[in-house]
Formats: sequence, structure tokens, C-alpha cells
Amino acid sequence: MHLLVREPSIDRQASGRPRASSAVARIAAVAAVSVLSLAFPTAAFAHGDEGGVPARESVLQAIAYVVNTPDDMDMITDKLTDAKESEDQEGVDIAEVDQAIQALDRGDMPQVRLLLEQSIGARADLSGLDVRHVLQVAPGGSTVSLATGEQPGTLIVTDELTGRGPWSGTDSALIGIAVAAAAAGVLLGWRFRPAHSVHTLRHQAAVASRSADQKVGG
Amino acid sequence: MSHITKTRPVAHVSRGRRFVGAVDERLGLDALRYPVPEHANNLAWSLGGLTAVSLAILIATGVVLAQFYDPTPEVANASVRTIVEDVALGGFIRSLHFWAAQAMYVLAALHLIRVFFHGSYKRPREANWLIGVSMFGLTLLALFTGTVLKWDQEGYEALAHNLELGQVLGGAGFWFSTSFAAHTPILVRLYSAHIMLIPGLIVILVTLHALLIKRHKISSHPGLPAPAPDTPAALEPGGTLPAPRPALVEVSTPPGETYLEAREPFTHHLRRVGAFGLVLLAVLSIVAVLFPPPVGPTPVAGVEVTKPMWPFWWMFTLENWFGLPAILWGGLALFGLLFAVPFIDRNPKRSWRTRPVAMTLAALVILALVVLTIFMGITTPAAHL
Repeated sequence: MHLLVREPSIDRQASGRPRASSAVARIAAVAAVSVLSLAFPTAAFAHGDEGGVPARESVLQAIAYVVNTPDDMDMITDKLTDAKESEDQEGVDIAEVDQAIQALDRGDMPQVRLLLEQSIGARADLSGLDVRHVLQVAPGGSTVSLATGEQPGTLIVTDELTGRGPWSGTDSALIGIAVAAAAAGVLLGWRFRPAHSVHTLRHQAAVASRSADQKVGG
Repeated sequence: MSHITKTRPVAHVSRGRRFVGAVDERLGLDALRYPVPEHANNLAWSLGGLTAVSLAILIATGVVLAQFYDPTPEVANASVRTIVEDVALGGFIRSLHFWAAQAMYVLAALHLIRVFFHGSYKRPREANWLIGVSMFGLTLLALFTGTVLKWDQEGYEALAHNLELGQVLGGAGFWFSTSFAAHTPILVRLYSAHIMLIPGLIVILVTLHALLIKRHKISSHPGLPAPAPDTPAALEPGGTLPAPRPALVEVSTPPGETYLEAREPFTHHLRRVGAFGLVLLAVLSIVAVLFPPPVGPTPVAGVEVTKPMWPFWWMFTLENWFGLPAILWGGLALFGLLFAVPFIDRNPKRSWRTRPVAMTLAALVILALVVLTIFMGITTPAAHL
């Protein structure tokens, strides 16, 4: 990038005076290259001491990738490797993580997710519809402390709850009321419209101005 | 001894009118009948009112949602799912809230553009421009906090970005630091900001905005001959004006110019905004039924796989290009520019035809925002944190 910017000064030394069109073309080229290179950013990953990250956290992150970006095999593998290499493997069944890695090699994503959820003791729920029971901790049945600060408090990664379900009678009723309200609004908007449009006001003012000019002139 | 007369008054006044009169006598509602220009009843000049209608929809739906939402991190996402699936009309109300928030953002932006285009921020309305820009910024903050509240992966990543930006700000970003109240989940603090702090400030500023509109009146239309200082042919101080017709009122501007303008009471503006608002509510309701927003997966820290809401895309393109602090500097630059508009543009002319520099700069800024937004739309999410 820097070499490209310096090129015009080399031209100046060689020919005495650079051509303006050439300089403009080069600046445009540099700008285009810069924008294009910036438009496709490379992912920046934190590579710290992965052994210090609890294995449970890495497994949760792997599940998050399985749920959100199941095609990103590299990141899922990375997280599972981190879990296996972690110094803190409390609460994680590493044997099931190993099985999950084998399932990942086969491309069996539902099995990967199931095994990973089991490996951290979370109940598997692949329906994506009713996850509340997973998140409800029975009184006295958990030693998990409540989240503070920026902790997400996530025990299990749920599926996305899709927006549009099957069409219902309530939907039809709501649409009917909304259409009636829209019609009433349009009707009232027309009823309460200004007596003069901006076009009419402009025309009236122009006529008034002309007649005033004629009076002053005459 | 008092005498009671049984004769009826000569002029019959309906019960409804008497009720309105009684209320007006006590609350002074007649003060709303102050004159405004007739052109204020057009759609373009009603965008501010429609933004207020969106705010009213948001407050109404937000009050309902607040009855069922639980800002505890462990169950926040599940409580949103409960609203959608278990609460009567909960999915519709949440969807209406979601779409009304975006409508408010778009309408506020269009209102700002309309005010800029017609030069309505110029003397003596500079303070109202500043209040409007502040409300626009608060609207963006409300969008952000609302995104976080659903506590899914997208919302959590938005929060993670915000915490990083709080660190960039150093001491000034203390509120976005988890150490500010280490024992309290930041979700709870953002919830309080979303339902109390931000809407409270917006309501206060809306009130000030309305009072200043009454104080300075709705600006004249620079497209109509005579009113604007840049069309001075019939505006020479002391110049001859044609005899006023009933629909026209002689108006004086601060520079001592006078012109004729068709006027109507502000209540007529309100009722037209009400009619437009009914259409807006209806359209948002239809969109809410047809396109309800999903609830994303429960969040996991240390993962960056989602895109933010589209109003923030331009900032995130800057992040992709220049790193995370660019979100902060880009946002500050835009709002700094917006706040500075009345102080930079001292040209008294208001018609867009006579302000080529201002129009060109505004077009460039809007184009840049659109291009940056499109870039984010076609880019896959990258990890930055």
C-alpha cells in the first residue's frame, strides 16, 4: 500500500513533472484497492492462554457455533480442542467431547450438539420451542451462582425461536382490524387535508405578488 | 333568597361542546389552538408528529411487555419466549414494539432530513434542532438497549461491543463498566435505562420541543414565494403587501420581514397527525403480524457470529475497516456534525436551491451512511473482540 502511494514521486524524479491524469488515476486505484481490501475483513481471533479457559466455557462456545454457524467447522473444532487442553475440566465429561469430535468428523451435527450438551450435564432440547424447563433451576437443586456483571448466565444454548408460526384466527382478526384502521386513517387524513396544497399556495402567492407589482408599477 | 329561572338559554349548546368547554376552562386546552401555517398539515411536515405517534405506540406496548419480561440473565431470553408463546397477544405486542422502534428511528431521521432540507433549523430555531438531534441520539440508544434486552447471541454481542467501547472512553465510560456495580448484572442496569432513563429523557425533550415549536411557530415554507429571506422581492421592510384575504395572515420574521401566510389552528395539525398516525399504527400492525421478529439462541460469551440491527450497520462497517474504536469515533463524528449544523451553516437562506454547499454536503453524508450500511449487509460477521 505504501509503495503504491510513493510511486508518483518516483515519476516526478524521472520525468520532471507528473501528468495530472496519471496521478488522479493512481489515487483512484489506491482508493479502490483500499476500499475493496477493507470490505473483506479477516477475522481477528484472540489467541491467549487457552489452557486457562475452563473446559465448560469452551464447550458452551462450541455449542453456540453449532447453533449459530454450523458450517464453521474450524471454530467448532478449535473450541473442542481448547476444552480438551484446558487445565480446568471440572463439570465436563471429556469422553463425550471426544465422541462429539468423532460425530463432527462424520458431519452429524445433531449428534455433536447432543453429546456436547450431555458432556456439561445440560438437558438436550433440540425442539427449539420449549426451553423454559431447561432454564428453571429447582430450589436447592443447583449450586450455580447467579450471573453478575456481563456474565450471560447461559446454562444451555437454545435454538432460535422463529418469528412466524402457523397462521391463526387471531392473526386474521388483527389483520382485519388493522386494514379497517388503515382505511379509517386514510379517510380521516383526506377529510382533514389542508384547504390548499403547497402548489396552490405557491400559485396564489405568485398571483398576489404579480398584482402587487402591477400596482406599484402602474 | 335566591331566584331560580326556568327559562332556557336562547342559544342551545350541545352536551359535548359544554363538556369540552368545561375541560378547556380548567386545563386551558384552547392554548393548543395557536395558529400554524397551512402547509404544516402536509405529510412531510407531519413527520415529527408521526415520530411522536411511534413513541406513544412504543410506550404503550413497552408497558405491557414490562409486565412479563424478567431482566435476570439466567431467564431473560426464556421470559421473552414466554411473552411470545404464553401471553395472550404477547407475540403481536412484542412484534409491534420491534417494528414501531424501527419506524421511530426512520421517521425521526426523515424528520431531521426534512428540517435540514427546508432550513427550518435556522434562527431562531437552533435550540430546537439541538433538542431534536439529542432525541435522535436517544432513539438510537433505546434501539441498542432494546436489542440487548432480548438477551440472545445478537444482543449479547452488541453489549460486548458496548463494554469494549466503554473501556475506550476510559473514565467517561464508567457506566458501561461492569465494575461500576459489580454485584448487579449489567442487563438489569440496561433494562432500567431502556424503560426509565432513556424514555424519560425523550419525554422531557419532546415537551421542550413542543414548547419551542409554540414559541417560535412552525417555520414557513421556503418554497412559497415571499416568506424566506432569500426571496426578498415582496419582503422589503416596509414594502407594500397586498390586502390580506381571510385565509391569509401577515407574519413577521425576526429580521423584520413580513409576508402573508395561510394559517390554521395547531389542533388541525394534531388531528391530521392523528389520522396519519392511525394509518401508521395499522401498517405497523400488519407488518407485526406478517413478520414477527425471532428470538435468538441464548448467549455465550467469547463468540462473535451475528450482525447487529441494521441502523448500526454503518458503524460496524467502520469497525471492520478501522477496528472497534471506529464505532465510537464514527458515531461521535456524525452526531458532532449534526449538533454543529446550525453553527456551521450561518447562511440565512432557507430554500435548497440557494444552499448548494449545504445540500451537497448533506447528500454526501447520507450517501456515505447508505454505502457503509450496504457494505455491512453484504459482509459476513467477523470476530473483533
